[in-house]
Amino acid sequence: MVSIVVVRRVKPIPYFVVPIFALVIGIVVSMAILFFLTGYMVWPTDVLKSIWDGLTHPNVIANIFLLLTIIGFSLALSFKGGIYNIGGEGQFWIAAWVMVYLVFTTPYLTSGAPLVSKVLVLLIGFAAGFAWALVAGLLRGFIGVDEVPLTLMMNYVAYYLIDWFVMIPGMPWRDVYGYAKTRSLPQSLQYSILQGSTVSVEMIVVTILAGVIVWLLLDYTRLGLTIKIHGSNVKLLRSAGYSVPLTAAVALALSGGFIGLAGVVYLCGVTPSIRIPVETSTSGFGYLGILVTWLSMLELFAVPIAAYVVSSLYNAGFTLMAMKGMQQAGVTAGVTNVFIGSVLLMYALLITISEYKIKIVW
Amino acid sequence: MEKTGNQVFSQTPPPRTPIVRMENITKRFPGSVALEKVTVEFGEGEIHAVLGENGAGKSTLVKILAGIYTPDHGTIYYKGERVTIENPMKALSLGIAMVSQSPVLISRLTVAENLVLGMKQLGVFESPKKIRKYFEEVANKIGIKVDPEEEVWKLTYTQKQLVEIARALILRSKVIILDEALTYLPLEERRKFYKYLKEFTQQGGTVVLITHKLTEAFEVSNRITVLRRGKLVGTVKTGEVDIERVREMMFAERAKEITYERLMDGKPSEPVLEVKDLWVKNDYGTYALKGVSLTVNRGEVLGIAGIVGNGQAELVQAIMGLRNVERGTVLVNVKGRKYVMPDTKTLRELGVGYIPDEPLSHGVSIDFGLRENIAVMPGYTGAVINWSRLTQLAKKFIEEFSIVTPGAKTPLKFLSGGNLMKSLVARELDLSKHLLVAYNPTRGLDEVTSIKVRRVIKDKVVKENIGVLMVSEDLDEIFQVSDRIAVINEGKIVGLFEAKSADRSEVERLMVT
Repeated sequence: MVSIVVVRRVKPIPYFVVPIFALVIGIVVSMAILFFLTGYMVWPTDVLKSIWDGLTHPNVIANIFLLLTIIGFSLALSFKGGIYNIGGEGQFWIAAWVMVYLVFTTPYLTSGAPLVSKVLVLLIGFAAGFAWALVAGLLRGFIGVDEVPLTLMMNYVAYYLIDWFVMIPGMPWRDVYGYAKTRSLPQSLQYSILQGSTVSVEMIVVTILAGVIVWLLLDYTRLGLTIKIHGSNVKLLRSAGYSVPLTAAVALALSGGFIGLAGVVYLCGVTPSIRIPVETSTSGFGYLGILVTWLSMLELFAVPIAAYVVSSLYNAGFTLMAMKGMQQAGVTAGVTNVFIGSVLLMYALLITISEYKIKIVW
Repeated sequence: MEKTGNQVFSQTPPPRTPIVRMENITKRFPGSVALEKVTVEFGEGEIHAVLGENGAGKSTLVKILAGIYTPDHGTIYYKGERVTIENPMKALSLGIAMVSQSPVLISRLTVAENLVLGMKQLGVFESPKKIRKYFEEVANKIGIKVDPEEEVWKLTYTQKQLVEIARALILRSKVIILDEALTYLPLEERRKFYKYLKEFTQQGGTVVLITHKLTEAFEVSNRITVLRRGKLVGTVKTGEVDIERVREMMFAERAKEITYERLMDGKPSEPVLEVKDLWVKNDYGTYALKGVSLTVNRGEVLGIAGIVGNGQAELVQAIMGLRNVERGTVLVNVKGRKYVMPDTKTLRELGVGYIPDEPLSHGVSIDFGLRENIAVMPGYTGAVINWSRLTQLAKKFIEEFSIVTPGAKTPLKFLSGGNLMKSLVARELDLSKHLLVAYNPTRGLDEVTSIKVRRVIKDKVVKENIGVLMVSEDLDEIFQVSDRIAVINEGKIVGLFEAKSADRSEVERLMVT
């Protein structure tokens, strides 16, 4: 007699299976949504072509790819500790804002050699992201507030604070009247674009350094190990004499610190001023980073791969939004979110299903 | 008369009527084969003991029968019919129930509510009134004095285990699997229970008993199946073999290492741990310790004897700084310095080993390998981890304690319960430079490993002059290792004895009165 039974897996399936299926099914779902939403104007082939264009034109997506890679590494750091930092957006913009604030209020910061200034603002960005995330980390660790809604809400606190700060009249960072943005960063802080490309050496270096530091931290330091154990068994940490609340707070803060680097890199390497309202002009890198981190299955080496794919989806969203049919159908924004949402939903479904397997017993 | 190996293994008569036949069962876990082509039959009306060393595959075998695991290969016949037991619900619906070492009742609910839930899971919707009636009938039979309206957290460990077993009976189970379920019940309770199990089998029921207590397996079982490293060694009729023969089947030449004689005496010197008038609450806000005072000297093992649930867990947690102390003091003396109420971090850095009351949830991270579980402990590494040194240390533990694992990096979740416990014990013994606070240090370990662990503990006490506070519900262990024995009952120390001259029956009397 042959029976088919559903049983829980003892050995997990290879980590790349779920992300690949989530991407494929997510894209298929997106195709269907866009097809019906636009009254059959956007055909699946249009979607595939726009994604393919992104994948095969690294120059187009390079900046987004590098930013998402840094954020992916940063979020993996806290996710591995079981701390779900959804506040990447806030940490990203707070770091960018603190840098702008200090650059325009502390002239000697940019008075030295450009390299020194660039390193200094990176450290400032790290510290700002760290401090912003630490607030959430301390509340999570010592008071037990759930970090998911907390960090999410703090994104909005960051947005509105920055919106207000930027527009305070008479401040040194204010751009000329009538422009809703800060002044551009001094040339000494702006990264120089590599000839024949859209990226800068500095962005590439910071991305590689962030990855290497996060890897060394997680795999070769006691702090990294305690963060990982926090994600596995907090009772063991307690029995070993560690402060569980402090470990949670540090994991979240470190994650915010590294995201802060991305905020600085964005201003120095992509666009040299902060436009407001931040919540509408933002590209949502903090949220995209979450998708990158999940698709990487928290494996650091897979973060760049996931970031590359997500960058292509992001780019495809913009390409499709610019299509004639989309405008006519009233779809002017949010196509990227259709991709992101569909893939994330598929990921969540598949990660649950993947814990089980169908077995034939005879 | 002792039988020869051939006689014993080949002349195994089949049971009267096999209610369960597990044929050619194979189960693999990553990196190891837990069971390989094991065939075993459990007969109607018998108590069938399944014995073997740690990692032999006993628990895997019964978990397959209880629907917790599915086999990679093999067939299960129930009452002669081929069945697929894909989950525990299916097992229960067939009439197969398993009770393990840790009760799985919901603490905040009453006994009756827990029973109603159990029935609902099976799709049987009985009124609470009817279930109370069933429970009272069963409770009367097996002598459980538990009010069905009592909340589970208020029950003792013994009562919880008995309720679990009563639940299995209410569900009309025909096969009851006891996976070390009786290990920590007091002897008197166990005897009472075995008496009932006999009655249960006389009415056609089947009991599959997993235990490390060989003497009891011999006392109560009709047949014994021995597994070693995932393979069937043989099934024997209990009356036809002696205990030494079964030990040989289980451990081969290592059986000679088994002894229950008192280990060497310690050489007590100055106090390393002083507990004075300790008052501590349990998780539910009532006092678990009511003015406990005790002293552990260097060079001695102070054994704490008592029935589980009398404040032992709270005592070790309070000493380790893991539970709030309402009143009283804990003093640790190391290198001439007195540490008053030291926190966990200080204790660990000082070199205090700790084997917790819930070792698997508080003592290890099963998602990581042995080397990571070593590295996380203060004292083994600085801010930067030297993995090659820790891998060597992990390999040393694996060798010294015969831990069955594919390697130092293999996640502990792929190890058997006994090997997991060995990993924890090896690390904590190595960590103990001045004091070891241990709760059931040989929980779930087989006889050979248990005795080895006890020897290592005593060696450290004698040679390295550490002090040991050892809480154990196993009186054999208490008497074998301790230099002094304190008896704890209802949160109070009710007796203190020199182990050499202690009267076992007096200790037992103090534990229960």
